[in-house]
Amino acid sequence: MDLSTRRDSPLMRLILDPVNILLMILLGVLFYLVLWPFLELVLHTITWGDGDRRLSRDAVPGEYTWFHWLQVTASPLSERMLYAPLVNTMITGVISTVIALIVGGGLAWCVIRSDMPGKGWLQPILTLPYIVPSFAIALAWETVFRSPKVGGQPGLYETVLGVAPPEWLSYGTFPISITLAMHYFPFAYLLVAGALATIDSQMEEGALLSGASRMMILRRITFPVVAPAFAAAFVLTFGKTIGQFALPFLLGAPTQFHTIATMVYANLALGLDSMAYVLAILLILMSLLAIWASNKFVGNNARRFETISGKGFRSRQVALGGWRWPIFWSVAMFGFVVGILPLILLGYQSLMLIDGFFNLSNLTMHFWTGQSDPEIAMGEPGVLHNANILGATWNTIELAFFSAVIASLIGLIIAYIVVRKDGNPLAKMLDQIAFIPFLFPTIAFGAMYLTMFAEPRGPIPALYGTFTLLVLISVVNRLPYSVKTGVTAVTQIGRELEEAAEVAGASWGRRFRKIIVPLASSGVVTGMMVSFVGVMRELSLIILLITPSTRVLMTVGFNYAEEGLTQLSNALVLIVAMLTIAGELILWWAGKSKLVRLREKHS
Amino acid sequence: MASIEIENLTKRYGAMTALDNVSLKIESGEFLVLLGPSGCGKTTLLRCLAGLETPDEGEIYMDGELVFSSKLNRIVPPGKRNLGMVFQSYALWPHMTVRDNVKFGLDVLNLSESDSKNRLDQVLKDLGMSDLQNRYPSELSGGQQQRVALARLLATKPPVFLMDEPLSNLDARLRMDMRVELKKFQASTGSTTVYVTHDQTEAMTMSTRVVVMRGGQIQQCRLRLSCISVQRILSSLTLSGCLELILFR
Repeated sequence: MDLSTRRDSPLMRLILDPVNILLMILLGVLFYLVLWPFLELVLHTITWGDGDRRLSRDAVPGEYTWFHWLQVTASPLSERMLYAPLVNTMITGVISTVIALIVGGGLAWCVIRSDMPGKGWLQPILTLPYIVPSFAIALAWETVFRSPKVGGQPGLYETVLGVAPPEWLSYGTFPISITLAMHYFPFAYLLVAGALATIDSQMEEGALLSGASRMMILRRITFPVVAPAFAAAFVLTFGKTIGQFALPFLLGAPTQFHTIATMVYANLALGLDSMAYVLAILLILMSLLAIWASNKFVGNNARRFETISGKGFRSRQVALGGWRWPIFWSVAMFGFVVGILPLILLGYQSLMLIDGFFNLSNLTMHFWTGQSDPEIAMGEPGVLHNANILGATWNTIELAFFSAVIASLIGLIIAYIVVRKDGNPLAKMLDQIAFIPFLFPTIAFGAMYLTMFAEPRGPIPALYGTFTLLVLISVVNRLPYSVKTGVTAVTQIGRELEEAAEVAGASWGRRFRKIIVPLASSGVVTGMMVSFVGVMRELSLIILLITPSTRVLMTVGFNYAEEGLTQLSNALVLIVAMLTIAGELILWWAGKSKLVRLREKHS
Repeated sequence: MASIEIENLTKRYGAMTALDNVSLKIESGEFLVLLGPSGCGKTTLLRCLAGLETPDEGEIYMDGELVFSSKLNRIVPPGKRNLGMVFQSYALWPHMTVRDNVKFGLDVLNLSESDSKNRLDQVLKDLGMSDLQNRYPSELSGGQQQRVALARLLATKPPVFLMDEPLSNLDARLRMDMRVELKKFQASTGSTTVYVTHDQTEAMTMSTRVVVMRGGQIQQCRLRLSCISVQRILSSLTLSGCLELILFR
């Protein structure tokens, strides 16, 4: 048998197939970066640790035990440590997700499919709340609704109205649900908008011709087609809200309102690592349930939603008629309140010499441009004079850029394998493993990597303290999203487009570069933007892995907030917001130059 | 030029048998039409020839070379089979201009810059697409898109053409024109052509031979007609419905 014959045998083709090679490599890498740390986490919860002797006299470091699990689930502490926070988590998670989806989905339809005016500048404004770090929104909320009952200066509400806001408005379920929804609706918006942008309006026109009303078309055609994106958006948003700790911590902790995530954080802060990990695992189980439900719906129907064929694609906008301007004004007002007002409040607060004292004589530029003054803010110079902050700025940009690009590319490759090798159990496994980081509350994920990479293991050096580790965890953390985005994009690319190139003799690499990447780019660039913004304002994921040489703006800002230097922290948050807005504009413009060309050709 | 030989080809999808022990010999330069109702296995057979589907049993020879064999464990990938294909949806790449669409296959062949350019210009000119070469597929009419698909096929001068209902998306008038044109190009290149359709008129006007398929099997493959006799039969029989009678007897 000559060589060429052997290479043409099914087995050799299977082995030499670049897609299969990539599949195996990615499986190996992801196993090490995702599953292994998780196993260590589980192991940690059922093993006595060195610090456990202060908890129990029976503790023998290294021995197995159910102690931590029993403490969390069935001890006098359980009600406060697990069950009450569990109820709080579910309630705030569901309420905020539903609001975020309704608002995000509605706005997506207005921007993508209707002839609402002013879209060009409304769209960036509507994504602003997601750019602002969540704890900044919490701070902005506090600025307005701070209740003197928990101490400190009164908020804007009391200053203007003269009465203290009711406690339910200041702390607990209501403000947490609302601010979470405010922070995450752009996330739902981007996901749904991506799906809406790929709908061929001929489908809707077909229904229009058959006499269907506009509502009916929306309900029977548009919604079912974007339903997978909706389902995905629900799960992704819900998972994010329940894993969020900084925001509920700021708006809940003052009145002893805890979610599971804040309990994880609180336990870690107290050095009760194993308890925190038990709670983290329970949090993981909660997301698991939601993901399972979503995959059941979306995964099996991938082919059904293949909407772009090789033929022309048209996207026509729905005329709003008399509703055009009222809708525009509502959206604009909403955009101002959730997108710009919090930034103004933060900006104003960063100019206050004494926090919470609303008076013109109290204004100062000290926290921005001031030199070090031992009388103010423990001698910290204004952010624009601070060498630490300049270094942190550069680190932030680098980290966000590398992570977003790498995560998007790997995400697209994984998505490609998952969609094209539909039915292959290994591909399915890859899909599932790539999604697992999503189940990790970010704070616990950081802790896992801390234990994994603190010391060298085998060929892997100790990555703790390196920039590489930050990129690594950020990329892995972004993978679930970039794979989802990629799957949506690849699913929309008809198989025949690729087969045509295959028949022409193009290698897999060439097909991927010339056909898949360009056609998926509109979705992938959107995903990259989301990742870029996400990494830049990510805090809980990396806070445990940061060392002075690798610090980023968010951790510096958080440290200021912890020290009570609200104005400095606000100033930093504003810098992060400016950077993410700039990054978003660049990516948007880069993707647009190509998109616009395509769109113009289409219309 | 290339002959194609299919021996005992079987393809199953789970419990469904799409191709049931199909054997067929296609002479070099022949224009063979696979005719049959939808779901009869004709597209599957075409995709097996292209290498886009892997049959479960049987052999395929192209130009005397074994390109698929279940016994010898041999599968030659599509790109190495030296063939061109027109898809039912045309599968034009929406992000590439007409010129880039046609050029893609030439790029893969690694031709010299000037060779590639000459061939490209020639093909575009032959198909009357020179003026439209910088447009995107979505800016073209159905007939023009069809021409791009054809140009893409012709550019690489493959000895085998595979066509999967290429005219089914065109209106009746255009379809008639394109039939003539397709046939003309096929004749001028002398490429062996396998053409899938469920349209009997198309089958009769274009083919040198019609193979009728049903339920994954070949029902009839002896009908060998010259173009003239096809025309004659058509004019006398199509409208009266006798054609159905002859073909499916």
